[in-house]
Amino acid sequence: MFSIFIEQQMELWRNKGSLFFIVLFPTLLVFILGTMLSNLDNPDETVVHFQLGYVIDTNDPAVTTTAEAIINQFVDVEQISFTRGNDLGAARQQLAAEELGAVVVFRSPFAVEILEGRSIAQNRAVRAIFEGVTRLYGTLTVVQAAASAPPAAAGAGTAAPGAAAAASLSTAEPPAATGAAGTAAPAATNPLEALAGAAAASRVEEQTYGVSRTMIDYYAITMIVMMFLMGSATSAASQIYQSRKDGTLRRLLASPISRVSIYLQTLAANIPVNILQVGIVMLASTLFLGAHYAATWQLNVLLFTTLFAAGFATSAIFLALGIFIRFSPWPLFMPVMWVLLFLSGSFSKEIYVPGLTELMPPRIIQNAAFELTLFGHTQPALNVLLVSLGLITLSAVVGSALFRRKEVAW
Amino acid sequence: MTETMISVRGLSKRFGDLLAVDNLDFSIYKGEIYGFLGPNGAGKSTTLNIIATLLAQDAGEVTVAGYDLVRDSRQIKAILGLVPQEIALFDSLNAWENVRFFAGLYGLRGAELKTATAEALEFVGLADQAKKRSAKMSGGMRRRLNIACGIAHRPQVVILDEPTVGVDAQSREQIMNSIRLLRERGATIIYTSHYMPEVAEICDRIAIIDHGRLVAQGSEQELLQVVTDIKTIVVSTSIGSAELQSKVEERLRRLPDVHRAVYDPAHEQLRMDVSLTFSDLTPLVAELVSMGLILHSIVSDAPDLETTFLALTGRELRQA
Repeated sequence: MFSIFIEQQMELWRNKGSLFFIVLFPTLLVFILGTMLSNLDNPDETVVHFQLGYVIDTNDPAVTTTAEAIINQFVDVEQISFTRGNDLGAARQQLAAEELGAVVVFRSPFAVEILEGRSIAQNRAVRAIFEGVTRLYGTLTVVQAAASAPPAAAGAGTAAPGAAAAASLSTAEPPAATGAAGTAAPAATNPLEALAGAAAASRVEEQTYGVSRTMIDYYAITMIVMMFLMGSATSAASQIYQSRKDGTLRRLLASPISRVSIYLQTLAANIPVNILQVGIVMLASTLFLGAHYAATWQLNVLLFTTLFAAGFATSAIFLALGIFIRFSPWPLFMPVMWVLLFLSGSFSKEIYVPGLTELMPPRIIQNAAFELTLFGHTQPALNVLLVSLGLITLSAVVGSALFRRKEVAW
Repeated sequence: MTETMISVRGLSKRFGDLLAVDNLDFSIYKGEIYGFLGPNGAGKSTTLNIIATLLAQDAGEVTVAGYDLVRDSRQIKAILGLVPQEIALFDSLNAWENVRFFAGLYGLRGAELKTATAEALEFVGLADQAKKRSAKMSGGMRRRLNIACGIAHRPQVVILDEPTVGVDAQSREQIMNSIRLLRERGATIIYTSHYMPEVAEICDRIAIIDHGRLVAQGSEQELLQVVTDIKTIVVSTSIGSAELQSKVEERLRRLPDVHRAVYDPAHEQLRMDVSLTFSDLTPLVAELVSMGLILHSIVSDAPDLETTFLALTGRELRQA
C-alpha cells in the first residue's frame, strides 16, 4: 500500500545529491550565514552607562505627569541615568561638552524631541526607547544636536528652533491604534495615561525575548522559508517529470495501483523532506549558534508545525503544477521563486513595495513566525497553519484528479 | 494456439490533426510471440500504450484475456507485464530491490514476493548480481534487469518494446532465450524491434503497420510471399574503405529498380533488393563495373523480412 512512498524514501536516502540538499545544505547554510551574521552582533562600541538629561519644556501638568511616569520606569535600570534640567540651553551645553549622552525634551501637546549626542550607540538606544513611548500617542522628533549646538546656548527655554528644524533627521508619527506587533491600545480615558501604560506593556512584552536576540534568530526563519520555496517547491515540481523521464512512471501507471494512490504516495514522500529541512535549520541554529525561537516549547512546536505545514503546502502545490511540466522545472521555477522572495523582502528588509510586499506568501509566513517568536502571538501562525492545511488538501484533491484524468503519451 | 488472448477491433487514436492509429484490427493468440513492426511514427507505440492501458482509445474495442480495456482496465493491468524500451529502473536501488518493488505493485507479498523476485533474477541470469545497484551495472545487465522487473509477477501477457537495443551479442542471446522460456511458461508476448533477423527468429507471427494501419500480418514465410516482384541479388565484391562503401550504396539506391543496397564487409557481399529479373541485370552490372568494382559472383537469394518490410513501408526516412 505504501510501496511507492517507501521506495521514494529509499531513493532519497541513498542518493548523494538528495542527501546534500536535504541534510548537508541546510546545515552548511546555517553555519555559513550564522558565522557571517554573528559578526553583525558584535557592537561597534560598548556603552557601560548612559547619562541622559531631560527637560519638560511646558507647564502642562498632564505632560509633566506622563513624562515623570516614563522616566520613573528607568529608576531601577542601572545602565541608564536620567537627570532633570529646567534650562534647555544649559542642557544643550552639557550635550555639546559630552557630559550628557542625549537630552529628551517633552512638550505640549504631548511630543518628545531627542537632542542626540555623538555616540551612535547611545543615540540608537534612546531613539528605540522613545519610539516605543510615542508609538501610540504623540510625536517623536530626533535632532542631531551635539554637532550643531553652539558652545554658548541660547536663552533659557529657547530650543534654537531654526537649527533644530534644519537638523531634524526623522519624525515618527504615531501609527493607528493597533501597533506594529498587533497589540491593541489599552483602554484608557486619558490618552497620556494610556501612553504610559502602553509603553510599559510594550517593554514587559518584549523584554523576555528582546535582550538576548541575535541576527541568526531572524535569519534562521527567513532561511527556512527560502529553503522550502526554492528547494522543496522545485524538487516537488520535478518529481513527476523525473519519473516520466526515466520511464518508471510508465511502469507505475501500467500496474494495478490506482493513479490517485500513485499521486498521493508521491506527495507523501515530501513529508520527511519538509520535516527535515525545517528541523535541521532549527536544531542546527539552536545547538551550534545559540539561536532563539519562541519562549516556550509549546510555541516552538507551533512554530515548527506552521513552518512544516507551509513547506508541505508549497510541495503540494508544485507537485500538482509538475503534472503539466515536460522539461526540467528548475530553470522555470527558480527565477520565479527568487522574484517572489525578493518582493517579499526576504533578501533585504529595505525592499518593500506598498500594496504588494505584504501580500506575498513568504512575507506572511515570515511575519507570522516573527510574531510567534518575538511576541508570543499565536494567531498569525495559526492562520498560516490553517491556510496551509487547506492548500494541502485542495492541492492533493485537484492534483489527484488531474493526474487521474490527464491522458499523456507517457 | 488458436485461443485469442488479445483482440483489437477498429482501434483508432488521434493526437490533434495526426491520426496515429487508423481503424486497426488484429488478434494475438494465447502463447504466441507476436512481432509488431513498423517504421518510426507508424503507430506501434500508440497501439502498445493503448493495450497497456496507458492511453485511452478514441474508437474501437480491445479485449485482453476476455477483459474489456475500458471497463476492466484494472484486471488487465494485473495480468499484463510491461518491459519498456527505456531502461526504467531506480538507480539507487539494487537489482533485488528493483524487482521486488515492481513485483510488489502487483499485490505480491511476503514469501511469494521473495520467491517471485528470486525467480525473475534467475530467469534473466542476474541471480548472482542481486545486491548490485542498477546504476553500477553494464548496459546489457540493466536491459536484463529491465525485463526481470516486467515479468516477476508472472504476467499472462508481456509487452517487450525493443528489449535488445544497445546490448552485446551475449546479452542479446540471453534475452532471446529468456523470451523463449517465457513462451514455454505459457505467456503471450508482444515483441517490437527494428532488428529484423531477431524478429524473424523469435516471432510466431508478425504484423507490419504503417500510418496507423495494418499493412501485412502472418508468419515470416507468409510475409515473404506478400512481395513477389522484388528479388534479392547478392554480388561478391571487395570495397575497401567505409567511405567508398557508402558512396557505392548511395549510387546504387538512386537507380530506379534498386530498393535496397547494403554492403556486408565481413562477407564482402553487396546485397541488393531489385525489381528486375535475373536476365535484366545488365545495366546494374555495368553500373557496378563503372564504379571500378571487380565482381566475383552474382547470385539470386531469397528475399528476407527486411526486404518485405521496406517494400511495404517504403524507403524514405521517418521522423520518430
